This record gives sequence, C-alpha cells and structure tokens, in this order.
Amino acid sequence: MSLRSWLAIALLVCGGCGEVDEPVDSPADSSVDSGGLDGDPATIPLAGACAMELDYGGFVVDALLDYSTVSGSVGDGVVPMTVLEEVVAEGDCRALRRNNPYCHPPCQADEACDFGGSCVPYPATQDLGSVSILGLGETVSMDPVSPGFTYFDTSVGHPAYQVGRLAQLVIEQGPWGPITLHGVGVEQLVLTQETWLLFEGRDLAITWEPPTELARSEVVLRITIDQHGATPISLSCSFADDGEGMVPASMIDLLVTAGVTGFPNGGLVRRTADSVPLGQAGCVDFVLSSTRTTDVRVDGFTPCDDDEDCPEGQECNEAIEICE
Amino acid sequence: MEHRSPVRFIMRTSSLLLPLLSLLLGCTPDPGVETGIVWDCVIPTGEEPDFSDRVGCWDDFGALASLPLDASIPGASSVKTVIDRSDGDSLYFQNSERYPIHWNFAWANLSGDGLPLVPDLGQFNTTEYYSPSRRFLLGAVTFYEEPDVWAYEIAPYDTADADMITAAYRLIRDNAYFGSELYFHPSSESVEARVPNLGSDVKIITTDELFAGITFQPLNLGCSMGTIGFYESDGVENVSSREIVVLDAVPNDISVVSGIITATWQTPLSHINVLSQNRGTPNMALRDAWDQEELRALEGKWAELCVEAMDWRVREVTQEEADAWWDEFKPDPLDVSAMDLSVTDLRDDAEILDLDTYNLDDAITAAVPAFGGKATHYGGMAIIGDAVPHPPAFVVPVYYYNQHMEQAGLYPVAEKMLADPDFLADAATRRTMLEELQQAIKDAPIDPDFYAMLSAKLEADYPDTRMRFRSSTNAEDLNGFNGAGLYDSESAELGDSSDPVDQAVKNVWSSLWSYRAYEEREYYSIPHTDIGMALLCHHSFTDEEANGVAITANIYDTTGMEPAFYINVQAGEDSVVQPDAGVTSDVFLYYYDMPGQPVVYLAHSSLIPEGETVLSSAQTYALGTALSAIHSQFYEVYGGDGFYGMDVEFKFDDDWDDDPDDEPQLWVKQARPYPGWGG
Repeated sequence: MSLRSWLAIALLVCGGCGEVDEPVDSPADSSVDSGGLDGDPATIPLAGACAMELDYGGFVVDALLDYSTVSGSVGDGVVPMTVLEEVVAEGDCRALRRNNPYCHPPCQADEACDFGGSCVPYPATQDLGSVSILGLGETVSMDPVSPGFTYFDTSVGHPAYQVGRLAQLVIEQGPWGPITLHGVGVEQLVLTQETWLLFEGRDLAITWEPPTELARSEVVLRITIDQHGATPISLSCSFADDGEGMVPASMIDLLVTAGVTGFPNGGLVRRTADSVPLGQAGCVDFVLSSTRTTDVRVDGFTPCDDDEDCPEGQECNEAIEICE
Repeated sequence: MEHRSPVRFIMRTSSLLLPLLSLLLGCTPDPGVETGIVWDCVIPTGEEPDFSDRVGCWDDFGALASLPLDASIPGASSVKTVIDRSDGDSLYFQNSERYPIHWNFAWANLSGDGLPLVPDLGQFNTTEYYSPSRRFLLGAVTFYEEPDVWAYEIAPYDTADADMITAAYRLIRDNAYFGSELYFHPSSESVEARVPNLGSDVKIITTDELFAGITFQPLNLGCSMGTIGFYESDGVENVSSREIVVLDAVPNDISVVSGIITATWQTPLSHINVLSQNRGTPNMALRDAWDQEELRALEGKWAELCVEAMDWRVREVTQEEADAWWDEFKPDPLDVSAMDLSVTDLRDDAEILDLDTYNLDDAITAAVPAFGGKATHYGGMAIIGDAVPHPPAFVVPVYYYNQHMEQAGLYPVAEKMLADPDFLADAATRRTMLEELQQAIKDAPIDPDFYAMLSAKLEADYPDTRMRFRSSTNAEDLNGFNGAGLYDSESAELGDSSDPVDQAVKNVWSSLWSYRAYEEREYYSIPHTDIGMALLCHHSFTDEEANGVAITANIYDTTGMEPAFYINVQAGEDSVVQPDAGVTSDVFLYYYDMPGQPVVYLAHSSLIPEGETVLSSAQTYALGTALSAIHSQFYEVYGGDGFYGMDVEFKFDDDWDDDPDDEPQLWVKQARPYPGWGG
C-alpha cells in the first residue's frame, strides 16, 4: 500500500474526529466582523509565522477538506536539526537543506547537538495550563496531554472558523506569562489543478481560486517527492494569495536531483499567522489555515504499488515504489 | 534441498500445519517457548489485522511479521511495536507488512478520535525517536531463526532513555508468548551505552552473540548453474567459468566462475564479491560449506545454486539443463566506448571533466574514452570541495598507452594471439601467451618525448615525491562494470633507480593484458584491443594509519528508509578487500544523517586491541561528511533508478597533514558506482 493510500486512510479515520458540520456561523458579509472579540479583523496586527531558528512551537486551527483540527505545543527551545539551511532562493521559493550537527562525545538521551558542536538540553515542551481559542463559534479550551504537554481538539466543527472573522489564542499560564495571538478565518482553499507535473528544467505554475473577499492570507506550498525521506532537501514557497504562483525551474531541478521515491505529493496551505517573541531567542505562533493536498508527478518517474501500475517494459521496484 | 527462510517458514507453518491444529484445538500451541502461562492465539486464522495488543502464538507473529528493513543480520523476521504513552501505554504489535514504518501505522490508526494528532512524517521523525517527551515508544520484536533468539530492538539512532527501554521491554515481554525468552538487543554503540542503566530483569544479547549463531551469509543474490568444485583458497588459478566453487576460505582473487560458496565469512566489499556483483553470479558464505553433505554429494556434478536474501538452495541438474541455462543467461556484450586519442596533455584532476560544455553525466561519458573510468570519476570527485579531501592528481591519457603499443608493434602481436586456436582453447596456454605479451610491453622503450613531458610535470608539481601510478582503462569503474582488482598500480619516484618511473608506467600498462583482466573482459565480450589505459597519478601513501572502502548507502536496506553508510576499515596498510586469512576489519553502518550519527558495528578489526576501533569519532565524522558529499555529487548520474550508492576508497594518513600533531587525516582515493547486491 502506498503513502497515497495512507493519506486516504488517515482522512477517513480522522473524518470522525470532527463532525462535518455546517460552518459555525454563516459566512461573514463584512471583513470587519470581530465576532465579539476586540479588534478589527481587517487591521489587527498579524506578525506572521515564527522564523525557523526562533520557532518554539505554536497552535494551529486547520480546516482540511472534510474536517478541522486544533493542535499545538510549545517548547523551551529550538531543536537544532530543525533549523534548515537555505541553499537557494529564487522568486517566492527557497530550497532548504537539513544539516546534522556533530558533537563529541555524543550527547546524552535528554540532549541535542547544536551547530556549535555542543550538547544542549533537548527542548522540553511546556505546561501552559488551559489554552483557549476564542472566535471559533464555541470557545475551544484545551488542557495539556502528557507526555509532553501537547494540546489538541479534534471535535471542533468544520470548518472550525468563519471566513473573515477574528480568532484569538489565549495562553494565561506558562514560563512566559500571558500570551495573546490573533488570526483571521480564511476562505477554504480550492485547487484548480488535479496534478502538479514536474519537469526538470521547467518552471512549475501553480494555480488556485483566489479569495472572493478582502483577504489577509498568504499561500504556502509544500512538495515532497522523496516519500521515504532520505533526501535532505526540501522546498518552501510563500505566495501572495492571488490565485497563482510559480516554482522556478532551478528549484525543481534541485529537488529532483536530490531524489525521487514513492508517491510524490504536495499541497498548499492558505493561512494567516501571528506570532510573538518568547524571551531573547524564541517565538510562538498561531495559524488559521486551510490545507489541501494534491498528487505530484515527476516526469520520467512512474510511482507504483505493483507491476500493474507500470508501463509496458517496466517493473515495479516495490521497495522504492518506482517503475524501472 | 531448500533451506528455511524464517518468513517463508512462518507462512508455511501458518498456512498448512497450524491452521489444522487450530481447527482441532481451537488455538495454536507455542512451538518452542516454555512458560508457566498457557498462551492462546489472539488473531483468528486467516486474518491479517492492522495490529494486535498481544502475540499469543507463532501464528500471530507470522500474521504481523515482515522482513526487517535492515537485513544486516540474515535470517530474521520482525514485528514493529508502538507504545502510546498518551493513551495509558497502549501496546500495538503493528502489521509490519501493511505498515512498513512506524509512522504509517500511527498516522492511520492513532491520530484523532480522542487521541492526539499524529504529525506528518518529517515532524514525526524529528520528535518520536529523539524527544524526551515523545508520545510514542517505537521499536521492533525480531526473531532470529538460526540462533533461535527473540529480541526487542530500537532504531540505532533512537535516544530513548533507559527507563523508556525498560518499560517497553517489560510491556512487550508480558504481552507475548515468547516473553520469557525475550532479549533486548542494543542495535548501536549509543544504544549500548544505555544498557548499564536498564532494569535488572532486562536480558541483553549483543550483535556478536547473534552473529555467533548464524551460519549463512548471503553476499550476492541470484541463481546459476555449473559443476560443483571444491578448492582451497590458494588453488583457484585454473577454475572454469562453468564451475560453482566451494572454498575453504576467501581467496584474494578469482577469475570468472558460476558461483562462489566460502566456508568463512566474507566482507561484502571484498574483490570477489564485487566481481560477483558485476557478473551477476551468486555468492554466499556458509560456515560448514567444506563439509556440507548436500554440497559434497554434488561434487563434480552439474547443479543449480540459488542464493536469496534469507536462504539458499542447491539441486542437481543435467548438463543439458545447464547448457540451456547458459544460453539463456549469457551476459549481454558490454558496450565500451573506443579510445579517445585526441587528448595528449597531462591533465590536472580538476580539469578532467568539461563542465562548461556538458552536465556531469555527459561530461563523464565524454571523458572516459580519454582518461578512463577511474580518473574520470576522480575528476568528478576532485571538484566537490573541502568536504572531500583527496591527493592532488593528474592523468596520463590513454593516448600514451596506445602510442606505446603502436611504437612497439604490439597490436599485431596481440591480434595474432587473440586469434590463436591454442590460446582460445587452453587456459594454461592463454596464461603463458598473455604473460609474454605483458613482458613485451614492459621491455619496449618508452617514448622519449612523452617521458620528458612526464618528468617535467613531476619535477614541477610533485618534486621529491614518491608517486602512485594507477590504472584507469575505458572499461572500468563504469555503471555495470567496475573491474575491481583487475589491473595493477605501482609506485615510483624520479631519480630512484630501484623504482624508476618509466618502468612503473609500463608495468601498469602491461596489466591490461593480465590473465584475470582478459578473462573478465572475455566474459562480457569486450573487444580487448579497443581497451586502453590512462594513468591516474598522485602521491603515494607509504605508511598510512588506516585504509578502507565504503558504500554511500546502506547495502542492507534496499528501501532507502534506513539511510546509512556501509564502511569497512582496517588499521595500517592491511587490505580490507583482500584480507589475509583470519584477518577481520572494522565493519559498520554509519547513520550519518541521523542525530548523534550512531554507529552499528557488524564486525571488529582483529589487528587492534579488543574494545578499540580503527577510527576515532572525529575521523568517522570526517569520512561521513565526504561520503555524503560524494553521494550527492554523483546522484544525478547514477541515482534515481533503484539502489544507488558509490563505492569509495579512502585512507587516513598523517604524512600529508597540514598539522602533523593532529590525528591522521582523511584522503579519498576513488569513487565509482557500486553495483548493488544482485537479486
């Protein structure tokens, strides 16, 4: 069974997590509806997502195709290896490389190696007490789940938020004191391409339906063409939410050169993001998003579960799920 | 005779015998584990659930098991385990065939519906094997058939602390019928470091102890037919290409044979195995092969040998069957580009590839006919940068080999020899005539203008330096034919009358016509006079502290899900690919891309004190950095089509270090495509 199939299973399984309800409120007819919260959704400051090297974690309200979820956790540091190196940047996209720092002697089980070659305490997720999100129709209140003080609610309605309405994350406890962050409900993302076909040497044009209302959202792209995760290269693009974006050919080439295995997939996330610094070197963020995934094909590579998926003259290498 | 595969045995037992017992008894009794508890099967016969919270019998295990991703210890089958700490330490024995990795299972079964969400694969891998506050304890129960051992294992890079390991071990022990016989197998050095702090009730078994109970080692997979012949390892000069040879030990070299069985362990990177991989002929080690009854009974008879990842089998066949098999599976002629005689300059390593005109793939193809496979790939490696320290080098193109052959009038001699019926018919005559041609190449005078140019190059760029002259033909180090160990290298220094440069050059050239090189080319129908030899020249390593060979991939993991480097390294100058009898090297998997860069030792050097390793941690990391860079560099040429890895030779030597007080420094000598392990 392929990862494509896993995704389908996960969607089915999690379909029961949150009922497929009517929106929690009728679509807003004005982008200034505050939903009872203080602040104007059209103008309330949104600081964007945390920079990678400062990202201690955060909370996400995500509306997928059939259900919505709320989840989050915040650590007291950044796991060094999650800070990716920018290899190339062009247009709205960046190619990022995962590096693996070296420490000698090796770090203990509760430590992580940093890029200075020192072992540092492994960031510990923090107890933030009850965390609330207002503006989602019914207030979501979450208590931490052990181990690791993670937060989640999979029983929220779907979509969990209303377009154009203000949402507010409220953290009252924890090592950094009270924190309040905001988000604005985004329109559900509609992809206008069934498949993204990657050719070496060619730009990849991405399209989606632009928002009908005044929007404060951005659209973030993710493409994974090495399902088995061996490649250290990943691709990150951030587009203005105007219905089209472009991944430069140089990025496509870099990604394909780094490895193709399994069933490639990709997706777009329409989101608003707000964040606030935590101390000198940290940041926590709050994201309201609509996520959609799509099939990705790489020219010259045919993904497969078995020989029947392969063109004549080729057989399925089931280990890497590619016809050869 | 067919030798039992654990998975196959499970299936056979499951599908035939145990269901019958189940019908009669309502359960399948435990076939081998004695406990005070009566265990019942919990999975109904014929069902293959996503998971089970208990393993009550052999059938249950079989319904959930798969081959482990890492097959470095042969004869194993495995069930992955997940313990959900956010749900009261719920234990799942996951269907490991349906869900090949932990994330697959957790994503599909343990996300939402009252449970915390399971993140995407990237984030899951970032936290669930490393975070002290991770949600899951992930591992696997593996049954090793030959030593008859049940072992709980965690990933070599998993940083679970002793309390986590102890808790997981106890939970699995108490919920499986084999619990009383369950061991914890520390899968890496870093995991082993946590053993002293495990609970006193956790039974430990080491990798060495597991290997001690194993008698079969698959080296190159496949089937072949030939006559079974028994030989001592120093007596293989006259073996036939249609023989399956059973050897008392590992020979340093062997000409083309149909299959190899050694009675002693081999390293997968030995010359004879790399040659087997190139030829596509089966190769295995079997501890009792010399006295094995089935093999002895077939001595001198036609037989088929099949080597598979988990087992092997041999059966008698008729000569007609063997002839038909040979007709069907005769190797396709290898297409080798003719010599490019347009290049006459001595080319520095960074200038070998024309990357202004071509991409790397095409540049390699364009360069091989002039510079040979070894030098061409060296050129691709030399431009990577600081990550791959290598000796500065230059190339003598094939033009000068061709010039030497022409000036000495040796091509007509070679053509006549190749057409001689006696040469073709008799191996001993072939050997003699080839030696005569080699001597003629050595005796012929070298072109004076060429020698003057070479001497000037050495005086200008490599003064007072003992040099190594290495063969680089247009029929070696290619994808599909690497020609490991076929040709010679020699050392010499200008002004040294005992090792003159001109003689070293001619000696290396002459090795193009060695018996083993001829036989190997003939096997692939390569036209011998189309082959020319360039020379890769760099300083000679005279007393290195360590040397070795590495593959830039985990050769035991064909899925790519457990990326690691496979490394063989030996102290001093002792060869890892042609070891003396009884000499072993450090053999390990290096998980360079995993946090903490864990090392899994599969064997230890017999030349250093017990408990020590040939390379320090820093040296191993430097090697890993080079291997990673080489892997990335050549991916666009050889990757993307099934198993991909580069075969890399290296040394550690302090004679050429910038700082002689530092420990010996890495020098990479060669990188070429690795042929894989057959099948």
